[in-house]
Amino acid sequence: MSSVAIGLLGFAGLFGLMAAGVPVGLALLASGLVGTVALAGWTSAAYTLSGQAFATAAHYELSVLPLFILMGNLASRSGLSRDLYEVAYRWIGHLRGGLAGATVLGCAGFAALSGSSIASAVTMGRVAYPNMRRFGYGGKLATGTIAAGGTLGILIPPSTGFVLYATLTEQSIGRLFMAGILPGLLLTALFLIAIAIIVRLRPEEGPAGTPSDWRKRLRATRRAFGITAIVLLTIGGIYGGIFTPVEAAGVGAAFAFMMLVVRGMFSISAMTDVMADTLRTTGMCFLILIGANVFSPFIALTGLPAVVAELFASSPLGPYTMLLLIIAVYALLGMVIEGLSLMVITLPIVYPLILGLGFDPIWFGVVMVIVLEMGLISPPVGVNCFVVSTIARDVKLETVFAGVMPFWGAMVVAILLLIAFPQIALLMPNSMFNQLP
Amino acid sequence: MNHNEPDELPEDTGGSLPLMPAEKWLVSALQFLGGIALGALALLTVADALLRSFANRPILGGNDMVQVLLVLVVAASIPLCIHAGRAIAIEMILERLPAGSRMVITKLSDLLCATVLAVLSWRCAINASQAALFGETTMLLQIPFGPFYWCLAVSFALSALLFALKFAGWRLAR
Repeated sequence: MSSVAIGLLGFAGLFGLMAAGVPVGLALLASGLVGTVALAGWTSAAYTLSGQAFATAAHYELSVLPLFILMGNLASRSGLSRDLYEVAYRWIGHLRGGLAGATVLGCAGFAALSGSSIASAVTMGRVAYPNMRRFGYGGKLATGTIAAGGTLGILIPPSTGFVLYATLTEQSIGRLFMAGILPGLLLTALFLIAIAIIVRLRPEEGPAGTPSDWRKRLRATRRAFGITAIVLLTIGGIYGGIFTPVEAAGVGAAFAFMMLVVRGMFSISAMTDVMADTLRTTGMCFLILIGANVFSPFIALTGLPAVVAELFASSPLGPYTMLLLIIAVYALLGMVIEGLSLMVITLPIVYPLILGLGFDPIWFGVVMVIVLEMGLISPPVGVNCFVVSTIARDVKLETVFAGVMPFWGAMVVAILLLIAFPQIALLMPNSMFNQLP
Repeated sequence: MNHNEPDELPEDTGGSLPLMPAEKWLVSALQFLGGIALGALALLTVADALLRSFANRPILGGNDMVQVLLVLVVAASIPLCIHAGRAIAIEMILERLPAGSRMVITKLSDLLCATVLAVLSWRCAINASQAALFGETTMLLQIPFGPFYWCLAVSFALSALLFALKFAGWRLAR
């Protein structure tokens, strides 16, 4: 059997195991191990298995994952997400659709503290949903806003999606984080435009909230000092070349811990919860990473990436048509496969292809993360929609999926703008003070 | 809005079943050890960042220490993740199958996971015993990798045990 055929069988086995409910990380491990045994023998496969597991667990750069997860959990515990929502609510809540807008802005702010989309949707949803319903918001707009706003979590740095992409493609985590900022702001603006259009067409969906006086606005803004400080320390620190991403993550976590103490919310039980949750989420990410780092060398051994790249190179289609084709396939696969898993499974094949087509790898990382975000709100397995439906128990899941559709459209617009103007993603990383890794 | 009320953590931290004494001890021990390692990792990176940025005196071998602390964090976190049922899996297809088929497939899946993790644990133990022989250490401080390979071996063995218990019909508390 040719090595390419073994590679294809490896993929078939991987999808079969995933369909059978085997955790993605372990499905990658099993397929990678069996495939490497078939191609290179047991001894080589055995050393790849344990060697890659250890190399992943001892990878210095990957310490950003537990540290940023810790920062997000500490910030959430100390009530910073509530502050974020309140600032936005006080300033724009009195406008038609203003509470939905405040939710999106709150999600964007929380995304700068957390790298997880689900965490963003849950945290902001618990604060924003009851408030929107209290003011008579329609279930469609209220839930759609939270589910879509939450997806900003993996685009605006820090982002677990970018850390995984950087690790698997040997790109700089710092540059990818910077590349996510402007597209994140662009998508936030597009979400706000989508809300404005929705309430213009159906005013009953998002009635105006109670206006806040200036005193309340300024007090809410002052309370948001903690968030501003964390964002300046972490994202500003990386951009200014003061900190590496690992250092920024540590400093951010330490500052979030200080906020917890200063606000009188520190307790042994609170810290136990925060640490336990951080460890569980870290385990989830590393299980996938270890699996991907065993599966990737197997796919490289099969020569499959070169064959696929050759196939595309001989195609009469231009690079942009092929790019759109790849994006469309990702959008379709994203409907059935969880985003981060989809990324680690496909990158060994797609990444060389993208480089071959002449696209910038950092720019593609951003495009890919937005496409994966679309998967988070696409039926039938759009995780964020399921998460939101657990908060909004009075709204049917179909309504949540219908509610996110305008935001799905906004994401398509964002991708098209990124393709037309790649500088949106590349301006920040190319202007970093110090090109630290 | 009440500012004294902490936001709830985004993830589920509670459970449906009470913890068995051994299970409780294991989870607490992993949380304690992982928490200590994570705290040390955070402290070390902050101290290193501040000393490097503002005093131009980074901690000697700071990166080496981060590496080995990260291994400890990962070793504690993987069994905790599996115990909490947080490993990402796609259950869309499985959920659509009849109960009988679903049970058989889930059992086979648990058995496969236990086997893969047991093999991984065994190979990490072999690497652990050979690490000293091959002089595997960190770059600067020459911290030997052997004990950290052992930590991963134990972590994967515990994870394999969790799947084996699940295969045997024991429902884990979350």
